[in-house]
Order: sequence, then C-alpha cells, then structure tokens
Amino acid sequence: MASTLKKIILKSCDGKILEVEEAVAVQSQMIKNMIEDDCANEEIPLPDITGEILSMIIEYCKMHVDGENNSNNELIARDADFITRVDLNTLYYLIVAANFLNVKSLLDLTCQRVADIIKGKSPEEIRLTFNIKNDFTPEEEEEIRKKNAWAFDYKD
Amino acid sequence: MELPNSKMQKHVEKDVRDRISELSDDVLAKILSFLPSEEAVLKTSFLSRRWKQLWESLPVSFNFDGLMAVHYGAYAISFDDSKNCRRKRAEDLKIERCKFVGLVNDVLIAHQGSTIDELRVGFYLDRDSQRYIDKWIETAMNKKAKKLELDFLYPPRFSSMYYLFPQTCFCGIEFLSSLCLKHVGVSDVVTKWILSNCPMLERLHIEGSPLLRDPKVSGSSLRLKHLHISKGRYIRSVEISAPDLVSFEYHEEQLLMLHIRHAPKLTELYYSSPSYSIRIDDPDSPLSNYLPQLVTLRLSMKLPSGIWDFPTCTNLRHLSCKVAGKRLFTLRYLIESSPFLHKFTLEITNENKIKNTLCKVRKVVEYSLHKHLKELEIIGFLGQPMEAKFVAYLLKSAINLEKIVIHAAFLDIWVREISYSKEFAEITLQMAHESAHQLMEHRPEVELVLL
Repeated sequence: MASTLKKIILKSCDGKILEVEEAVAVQSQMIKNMIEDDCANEEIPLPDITGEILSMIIEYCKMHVDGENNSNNELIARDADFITRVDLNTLYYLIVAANFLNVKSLLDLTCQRVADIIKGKSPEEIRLTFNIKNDFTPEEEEEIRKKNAWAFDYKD
Repeated sequence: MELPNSKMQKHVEKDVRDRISELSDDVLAKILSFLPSEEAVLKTSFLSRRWKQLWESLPVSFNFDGLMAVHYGAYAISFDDSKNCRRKRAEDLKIERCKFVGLVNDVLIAHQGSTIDELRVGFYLDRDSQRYIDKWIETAMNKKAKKLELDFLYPPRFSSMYYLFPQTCFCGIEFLSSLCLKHVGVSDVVTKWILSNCPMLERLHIEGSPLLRDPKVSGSSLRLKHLHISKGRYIRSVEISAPDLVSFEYHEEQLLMLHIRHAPKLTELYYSSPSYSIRIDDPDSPLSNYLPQLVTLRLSMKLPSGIWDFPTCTNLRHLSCKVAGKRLFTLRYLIESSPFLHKFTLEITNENKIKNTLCKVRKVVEYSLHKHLKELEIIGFLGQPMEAKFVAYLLKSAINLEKIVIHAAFLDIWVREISYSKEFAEITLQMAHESAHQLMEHRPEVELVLL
C-alpha cells in the first residue's frame, strides 16, 4: 500500500530531524490525529523532546510495528529488555514524551517501571531514589500524627 | 531493581532534581495505579507536600484481601484436627488477624483523599475486631464510598461471635449504592435500617448471616435493583416489595415462605435449592406469578419427575440450569414453555456413578421444533447415556441453532474424593469428546466449541 510508505518528518527541540514511516508514527495518537486532520504534511516540531529521546521512542514504536505478528510473550520480553536499559533520568524524559505524543503502550511501560522501582521500598528509600525532599514543617508532621490517633492503641 | 551504579552516579552528579514530582497529576496517578492502592497510600502519601496534595484529589478503591498475604491452607479446615494443631492454627490466625487489622487501620488513616470509591475487606474477622471494623465503615462512609463489601470468609463457631453490622447513621452513608455482607451479623431490624437509611442503595447482598429470621425488603421509595439472600440458616420467610427490583438471587437451604408482594420490574431470577425439589411453577409459589415476565432464569435444583406443567414464559431469553444428570428430560417442559428462548446453559453435576461406556444415541421419539434457540452451552458433559440423549434431543429440536459449547470437564475433585484414577479421567474425557463429535454429525452447520 502506498500510504504505509509515506514519511512523517519530526523535528526535536535540539534541531534533529527524523523521518519516520507513517505506520510507525501513528503509534502516537497525537501524530495520528494530526495526519487525520491533514496537518502532518510538513515537519512537526516537538518542543520538549530531545533528539536522543525521540530516537528511543521511534525505536520503541518501530519494534512494536515490526513485532505485530509476534506472540504477546515475545513483545513483553522485548518491552522488558527496552525498559531495563533505560536509566532513571532518561525514564522521566521518556514518560514526559510518551505522555505528550500519546503513545499509550509506552506510557504504560514507563509508568509501570517507576511503580516497580517504588515497590518494596520504604518511604525514605523512595525519597532517596527519586531525590524527593521531605518539605513538611515539624508542625505539619505533628498534625499528621495527631490526626491518626484512633488506631495507634492497636499496635501497643 | 536498582539501576547500575555507574549510570546512577553520573546522573547524581549531573542532576539532583526531583523530576518525578514534576510530572503531572495524571501521570503520577497512572504510576500509582500500577501499585496496589493500599501499598501506594502507605508509601507515598507523606513523601512531600506535593504527594500529600496529589492524594487529596485522587479517586481510590481499596481492596484489602487478607488471603493474598496469608496462605489459605493454614486456616482452612484440616483433617489433622488434633488439639495441638487446632491451638497452633488459632494462634497463627490471631497473629495474622492482628497484622491485617493493623494494616487496614494504617492505610485508612494515611489516606488523605476526601473520597473513597470502594472499600472491600476480605479476611477471617469476627466480633473481636468490632470497633476497628466500625471505624473502617465510618471512614469509608464519611468519604462517600459507593461500594462497601465485607467478606469475613469463614463463619465463626458461634452466632454470638459474628461481627455485627453497626446501626449507626454515619455521615455520608446516603451515598452508598452497593452493599455486600458475607458472614456478617445482619438481623431483620438492621436490614430494615439499612434500607431506610441508604436511599441510593441499588445492590444488597446478604450471605451467611445467622441473625436473619423474617427479613422484609420493602418500601415504596426503594431504589433497590439487585437483591441476593443466601446461606441464612435460620431464615423463615422473606418478604419483598420493591418497585425497581430487577434481579433477585435466592439460595434456599430449607423450606420457607417467600412473599413477593410487588416487583413489577423483576426480570432476572436466580433460584437455588439443592436439597429440595420445590416446584417454583406451583401456583401456590409466589414465584410462579413472576415467571412470565422473566428474561433470565437461572435454576439450581433437583428436577421433579414426570410431567412438568410449566407456565408459558414468552419473555424468557436466557435459561441456565444446574442439575444432576438424572432427570434431564424434565427440562424439555421448561424449554418448550419458553418459545423465544435464545440461549440455554446446562450444567450437569455428575455426583453419581459414572459409567465408562460410550453410548449409542438412540432415536428421540418425539420433539417439538424450537425456532429461536441459537446458543447452547453444556457444562460437565461426559457423554453419559442420558446426557447424550438429551443433547441429541436439543440438536434435533433447535433447528436454527448456531453455536454449541461443550465443556467436557472431568473434575479434579472426583479424582481426589471418589478416587477415580487419572487414566479413568483421561478415557472418560476422550469418550466425552467422541460422544460430542458423534452427536454433531447431523448438524455440521452448527459451530462446535469443545473445551
């Protein structure tokens, strides 16, 4: 089919230009909508996505288009392989980009990954892992503790 | 789970920004949705102000399933019922119960949101934990929960040990639309109280309450659509008058009086009476008046012998029967009384002896044609003579049949309890399949799904 060979041109925020087959690009619901509205004939600027992240996302979408005929288990294994190669910082950028481009399967995969990292950690470990600063004042912490009085006698 | 040190190091030097907290509420909610809400609340509610605020607006459903954490076998009835063993089990259970109650307390306290959609608690709980469970219900009601389910799993030894559903008008109880109580003490008075204090209630499920005697489900302003009453050992009568009632599920353990005074919208009936073969079509039975308006009928009962003079059910589309393999042919009276029946599901409980011989399908002497029956599902089919004969009858009668699904299940429980050998099971299954194929020879156009 002629339409599947059509190329979509994407431009990252750092000026990198990538040509993508339409079948791969429409994994992004946002781009799909643009194509349907006939707004994808010129290059599409993506203001918050770097070339590096964009390449990764295209790699991911391509993997899914090429693997359409593969078994579900194979795809899950590939997804797992893809996501475990990603470090925490890249993971944030991927989430932001997958959310912006609306690539549902990638958003699920990346969010699941963050959830897996949270799993089995104490709140303090979670703060350390993600650099979350505990910004409660001592008064606020006391307030939280007070509100919770009704069950504490159970533990004694 | 940890990331490789080298990479981590690089980014720590480059960037100590808390990027995760910069993500939008929607994305954070999505991340949290991949964790059990109980764990998510405990671990992330107080990470920082950002997270506390996030939880304040997040809709949440809690499902505290104690069995997920505790191995069921440890508390199930064991054959090794020596004194020591019993005592050990009781102690273990006490410890686990303490942990479980503590967890539910912690999570419900930590939860910062102003609403809880749904609260489900499933564990071995009884009156010992009354004040905590009361508090859980109060918390859920205050947070406008729409669904509440308490499943205390295993009935306590004495009626006096049951957790009693509180008769307290918690603020927010008016939002409750679905209430399911299993092995919870609910009396007639409390049932009435629930119905008059929960104006939005659409679903009420009361199972295994030893305190029910003569419950009355009535009121002209009731919105109740679905009612389930089962396993109430001491129920003597049930009275129903509910203008919006659509479905009624009723498992009867003993003979009792059923008064359906007013249920104009009743279209689904699930009726189970394993020990008595009560004829619901009996003109004296209050159900008989409602049979003609039913769209869905699910029966689980002993079939009567002889001719079954069933009233004509012109609205019936789905019929599902769970019966012993004995008097299958009695069902034809039911099928023939339902001219517009679309789907018929038959579950055969072969608790009796299984004959391991492939039967020949003899000619069915008489049958009337059924034009509307499109789908058949036979569960527990083993190709026993009576079964095969009955299916042959159905295949001949339903001339417009499109699909038949046959589950030729040889249940594991038979191997365990009636000590059939594995080989016997395999041969029986094979025979069931052969029998099914043989039956279908004359109806090649019908789609056969063999499971």
